[in-house]
Amino acid sequence: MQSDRDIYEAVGGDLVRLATVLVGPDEAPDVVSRVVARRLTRGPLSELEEPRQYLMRSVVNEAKNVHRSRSRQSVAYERVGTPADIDDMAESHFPDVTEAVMSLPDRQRAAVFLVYWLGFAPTDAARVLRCRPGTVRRYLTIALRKIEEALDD
Amino acid sequence: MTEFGHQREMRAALAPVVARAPDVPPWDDVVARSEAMDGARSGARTPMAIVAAVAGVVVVSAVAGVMWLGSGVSDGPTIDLRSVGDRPVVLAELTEPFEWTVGERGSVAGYFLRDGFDDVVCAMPPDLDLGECDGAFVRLLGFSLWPSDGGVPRWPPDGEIVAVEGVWEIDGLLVESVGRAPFDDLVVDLAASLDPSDAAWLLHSNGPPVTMAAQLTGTLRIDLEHRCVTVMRDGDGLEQVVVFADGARLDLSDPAAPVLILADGERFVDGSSIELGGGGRRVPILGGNQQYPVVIPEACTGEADVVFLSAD
Repeated sequence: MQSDRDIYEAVGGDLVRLATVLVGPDEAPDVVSRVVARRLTRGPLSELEEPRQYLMRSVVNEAKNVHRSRSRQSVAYERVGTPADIDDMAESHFPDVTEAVMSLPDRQRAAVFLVYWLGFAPTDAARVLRCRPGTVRRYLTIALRKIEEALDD
Repeated sequence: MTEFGHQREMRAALAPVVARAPDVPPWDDVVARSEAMDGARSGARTPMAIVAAVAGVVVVSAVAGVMWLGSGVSDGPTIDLRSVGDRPVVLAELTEPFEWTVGERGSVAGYFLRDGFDDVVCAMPPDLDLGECDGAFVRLLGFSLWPSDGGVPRWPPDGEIVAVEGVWEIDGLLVESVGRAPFDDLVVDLAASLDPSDAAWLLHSNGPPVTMAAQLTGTLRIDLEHRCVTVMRDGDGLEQVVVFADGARLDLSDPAAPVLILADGERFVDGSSIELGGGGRRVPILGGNQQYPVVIPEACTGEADVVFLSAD
């Protein structure tokens, strides 16, 4: 049986990357730290049936909180769900595509990351996002449509 | 590898973002944080705090004559049973994301309180009969009322826009609303499996109707092909929108189209009704106002109701 530390070290990288995609690099470590710490107050990670999926789902949820907090605190009300530092993504080979992906709503963006970056099947992504696989497929369809629009432009 | 194309482009698009991912927080720091949380939690989550939190919802419910049936307070999920008239609804305070199905005859309210006093939701389809809707549940991720740090619970003041978003599944009908206000899109996605002829819609609005009306304006986009209904922000002011996808192509320029767009600031009052679908079908309104209205599809409830979520 894996220890909590082993589990954390096995999934921590993906959690931080997911959080980075959702909230940006500045807040990503805090998001991951918060969700894992919070879970630990309820019990060890090793008791989770699917710790990886659970923690990823928690990161997605926590990202929403971050966005809500931003939206409440910001007088200017930035567009919610979009990391603030998209402008820094100039090194992308597909800057328009990067921007299109990063402008997706949280869950769509999470679906894109899970499927295209981590290689999850839609069924597995759906377990993280707690939705139906068809919903994930729809997210991806929407995302692809936006990507195609970006490429066409 | 996925079944979707554009794998290379997608990965390339994500690469610069992922490359900026910082280091993983050290395990020992996470453990220390957890221990600090645990100490704070034991002080913050007093039964009184939970009661105070739930009481805010009761205030709302009281407008519609909700009767308290019982409650429980514990370290785990707290479930409160109330009723609208003679129909019980269930509210719960949960400590983690939770999908909830309540058995036996009666109603269900999916209640999604993440980590204590963080998010609160009430969604009450009064006629949802789980005997007929096997496995039905309603789940809505709601608006933030309580700071996650255990601070003082509060209702948002008038004019403050809060977020309402979530996934709803009612009798196999999936409604996903992604409404993040202010100044973001309100999106309602229909499940791919949903037959448009069964779809009765929706929608929530964020914030008090009047003040809200001054803050967002929606441009309605309905994409039946992708079964997507979107209200886009476009200026100042908010349109509250109720959409009834009746199987026909929706032509917003057609006044007979099965779409009802409520005027800015229009108020519902308890006992009133609205027409859905342009076919004479009327849906009663419950609640003293309709700050957070949700239209439950008639096909699912047998007797369509508007469920209110209100902070008043």
